[in-house]
Amino acid sequence: MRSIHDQRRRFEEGFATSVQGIFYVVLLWWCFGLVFDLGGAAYRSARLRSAAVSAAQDAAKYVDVAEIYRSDRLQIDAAAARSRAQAVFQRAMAGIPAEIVVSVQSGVLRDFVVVDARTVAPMYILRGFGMRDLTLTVHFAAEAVPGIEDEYQ
Amino acid sequence: MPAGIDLRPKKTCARPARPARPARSEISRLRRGERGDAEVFGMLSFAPVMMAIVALIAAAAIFRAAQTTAFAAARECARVASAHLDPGGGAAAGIAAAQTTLLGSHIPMAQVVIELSGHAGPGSEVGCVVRARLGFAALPLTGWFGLTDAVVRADASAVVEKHKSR
Repeated sequence: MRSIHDQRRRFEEGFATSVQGIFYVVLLWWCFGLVFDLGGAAYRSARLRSAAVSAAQDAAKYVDVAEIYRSDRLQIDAAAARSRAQAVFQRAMAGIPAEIVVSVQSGVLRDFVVVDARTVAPMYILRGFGMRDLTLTVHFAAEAVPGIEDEYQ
Repeated sequence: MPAGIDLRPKKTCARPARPARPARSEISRLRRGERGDAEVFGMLSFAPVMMAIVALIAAAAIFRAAQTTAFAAARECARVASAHLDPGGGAAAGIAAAQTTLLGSHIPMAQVVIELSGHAGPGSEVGCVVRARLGFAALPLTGWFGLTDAVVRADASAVVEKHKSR
């Protein structure tokens, strides 16, 4: 009996060593996944944010001039603004699949262009740990502003 | 107890002499010592794998940081260039802005190429591409595993104001 116990203990000790080693390797691999995948997500997020801001700001420049003369109200040409925002966004996110929803909302004195952009950052390493992807969203609003408000502007 | 059975230990013939064996405690001690060696060897066999992953982590951290910096430089380049009406002046200012952004990051990049294109006055779209070679020489582990450098590329664009007059 005693020899069986000894033998089992010996096997278990060897097993414990392997498990410990594998655990450290897996832990390090997870750390690598965090750095690589979340770093990629951060890069994608920066791109998405930049693209959304550019799209909204560019779209907010499409002011309906005739409406200013008619009602003295700063109104955005919704169709032109939407198509412009789409074009700017797609160009800025070239190579990265992303979605954008552009809406023109009316304010008291002026209109706003509201951009909701969304992309999915794939997780190449963290997928093995149950995290398939990360959805990134950006919400940005740009206001239509008349050309000159201050001197020398 | 039935009568006639003798339970007293019987005298038997002497066995042939065995070769001398070490005591049980001695064997256990030797085995334990050898087992310790096996454990150390087992952990050491994992060491190169762990070192390779640590090298990957270091390289990935620098690469991702460089990628974000390169994109920031490209975006800054396009934005500054599009703020100028004059294409020549815009290009010079854009490239200078990109270089300043790259210098501010403290990430060692070599062979930096900044290309600016498309500036043709109001309404045109200015594109900026930043390419750089990222060296991992400062990290000793990465060199051991063949990771010496990587190329970082980022692009951005901006539109020159349509009704820009100056």
